[in-house]
Amino acid sequence: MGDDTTFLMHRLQSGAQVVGQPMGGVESAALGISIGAGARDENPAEFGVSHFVEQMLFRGTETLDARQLSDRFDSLGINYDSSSGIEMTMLTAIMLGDRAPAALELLGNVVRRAAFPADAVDNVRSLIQQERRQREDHAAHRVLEVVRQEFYRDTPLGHDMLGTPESVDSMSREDLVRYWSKYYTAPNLIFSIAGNFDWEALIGQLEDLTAAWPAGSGPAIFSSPAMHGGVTVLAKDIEQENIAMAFPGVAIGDPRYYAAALVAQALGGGMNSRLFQEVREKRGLAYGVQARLDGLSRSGLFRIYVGTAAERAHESIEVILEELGKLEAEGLHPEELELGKIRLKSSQVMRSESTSGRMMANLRSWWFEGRLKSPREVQRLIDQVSLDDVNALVRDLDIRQNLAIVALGPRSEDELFGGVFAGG
Amino acid sequence: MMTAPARQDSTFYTHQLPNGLQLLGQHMPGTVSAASIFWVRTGTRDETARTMGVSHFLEHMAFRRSQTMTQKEIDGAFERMGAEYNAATWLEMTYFWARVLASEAPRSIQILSELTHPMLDQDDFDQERLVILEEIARFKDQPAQILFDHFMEDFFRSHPLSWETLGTPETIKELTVEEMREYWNRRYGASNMLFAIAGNFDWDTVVAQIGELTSLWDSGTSSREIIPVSFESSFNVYTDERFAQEQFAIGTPSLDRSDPRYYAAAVLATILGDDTGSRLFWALHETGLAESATSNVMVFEGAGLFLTHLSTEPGQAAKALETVRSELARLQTGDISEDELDRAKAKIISSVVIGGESTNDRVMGLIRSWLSYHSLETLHDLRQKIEAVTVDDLRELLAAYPVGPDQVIVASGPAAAESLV
Repeated sequence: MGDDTTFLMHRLQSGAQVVGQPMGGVESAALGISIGAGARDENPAEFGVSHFVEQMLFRGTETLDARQLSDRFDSLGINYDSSSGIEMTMLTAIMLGDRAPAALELLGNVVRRAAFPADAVDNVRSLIQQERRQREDHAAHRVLEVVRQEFYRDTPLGHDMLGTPESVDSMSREDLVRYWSKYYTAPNLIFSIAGNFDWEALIGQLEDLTAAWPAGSGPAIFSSPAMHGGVTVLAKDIEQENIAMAFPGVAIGDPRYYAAALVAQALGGGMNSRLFQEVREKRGLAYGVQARLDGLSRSGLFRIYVGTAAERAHESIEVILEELGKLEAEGLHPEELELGKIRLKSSQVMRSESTSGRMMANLRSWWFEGRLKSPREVQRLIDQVSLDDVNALVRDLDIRQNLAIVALGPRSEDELFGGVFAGG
Repeated sequence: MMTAPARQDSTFYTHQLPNGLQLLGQHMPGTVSAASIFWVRTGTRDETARTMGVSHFLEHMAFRRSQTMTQKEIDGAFERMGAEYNAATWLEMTYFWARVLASEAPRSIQILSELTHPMLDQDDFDQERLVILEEIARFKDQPAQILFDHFMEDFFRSHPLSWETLGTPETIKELTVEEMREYWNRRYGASNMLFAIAGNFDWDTVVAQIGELTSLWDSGTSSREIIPVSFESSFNVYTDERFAQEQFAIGTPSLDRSDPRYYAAAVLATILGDDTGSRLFWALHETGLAESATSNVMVFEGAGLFLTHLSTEPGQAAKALETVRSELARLQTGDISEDELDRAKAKIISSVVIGGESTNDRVMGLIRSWLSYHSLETLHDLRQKIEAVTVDDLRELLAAYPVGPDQVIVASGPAAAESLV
């Protein structure tokens, strides 16, 4: 692995960028398009507009109505999807390689020649409001989302992708088109393809497809935002107490990124991680407990989740805080670091076995870092992380001073946190 | 680059060991990983009302202590291999699975084999019981799970397929480690298991290794009591004001696991309720009525389900349900166009081919194929079987297994019964 990696890169006349990675032995090709438009780009009056626009894209183009568009995708066996997040909107498709040109043509039109039919706006509005209700019903999703919003409170990274009920209610077709015109411009787009495809033909097709697309500006530059600690308790009459914690991580592209990823592994990345051992295996406090690192371009955060017996939630919080204290005081053990390295490297190699895995890795790495990394380079970067690097990072993060906690469940703030911070 | 061997040029293998353990393999050129699985033909339906949940609890215990390894050693070994690994239990299966880089395959197979022979120690049992109780509590907070539990109870009633895989807090508190040992003795014989591997491996080496690892395993028995399912339509509303969305499950009987018409049923479900471009998609999602409306075929031994799931807001719930039921009625008329059929087939074939590049997808495919037909289907076979489905096949299937008007319907969410019925 690694030596046979061929990366292809091209900047189109329009300013859009293309990255490709051919793979032998596969019939499929995976295609992705990222648009630099996400929740962080939104003004308060238009909260949720990125997601709203994304949901409208497949409602028809200038030449194909929603049903014709969908039938075309289906009859070609093109499996497509779309999503929107804090920083970007993404469209993806996977298909047999010989259908890649057709997929590109269709997705290109979806991105740039979307029709925004007026009669679809209210339907999409209803679906987005339902999506919020759905999230409300899923306690784990909800606390993880709320803890991010609290952690990045009053900054663009604290925006809710689903907007607010009011902003979504008042969104007009004109608002959607205005936002789309501003952000869906050629320099704000990246195309990524991996698998079985013809690069020369693809570039030729993309030059034609994007020739008339507006130039506009590239992605907005954001500075790293302020972060906020604090406790939020949301009451709900359910069985378990769902607790999420957030503390500062590092951005993707930060030289300390892999050190941070290794901290997440050791803290709550697997069944031998500290939280899994202490919370689940030793004390049986929870079924689900984990920690993860979420990197963005200018910032990053660690998040911990535990779903625990309500009557033992206080104990769960104490155990986790104690583990965070230990992490700050002692850093990682050498064997934890080594184990984490093996896991990170292996999962990276195994992910890159599929066309969609490689397409996505390249798209993300081009978006976040402006370059592509071969599996071998990533392995080297992981191997280079020393115990000193990790321990210096852990000290710098000042975890417990910057900790945001959100609890959702039957217990009160006093029942959950009484005496917990006493020793400070 | 273009001369590289393709993953589609696979070689398939089967072999049965003297102790009855059935081995299955698909060598996939061009892959770097190997996915392996020990599949035990036992699950919730093989329990008794008193021991409900024992299959799943036992799966947890496998990771607590094997004959030679502790939990930390088991997980440590997998993690040092950089493995993806997991286990799962459902109505008629328990499996232990790992995917690793090819060089680690022998070690991963060895540990998986250990997992099938757990120590079942009393202290571990008491400790793990707490985790199971938390898993149940978590389950009871998840609307989709609550809905599904209600549905299975209403659909299968006294039949063992209605039982809850996690058990109930009561059965889990009552369960003893002796009962679990007895269950293991009865269900974990070699002849009641399958082993499968897909990806990058050498078959002769795998056969020799497993032969050695399992040479002392008892054959055991592979029987399962198959009780016929009787169908009775019903409509029950389980109001639960903790939740914001209203969810429905609508089901009718369908074909059993060994029925060769499975592909026709899959095409039918795709036409009606695939998550994009299907009849339900246009009638409910595109109109803003329901956030999700999807259909699936679920096959078991001696039973099957054609199941539609609907998630909507309470204010539109009655209308959304009515819309689904009228789509089911329209499907039942057999008025299906060749265009619809072709699109559904193209979607399924495409996902079969793309899934065919993944070692995980394929290892599950081998198991599914063997459980259903006692043979391994190549990607070519699958493609042909899907291509061969005609509109007449769909009509015959609908005649044999009508999707309405008699249905089991379950509603779960904030809506009051009067607003729905």
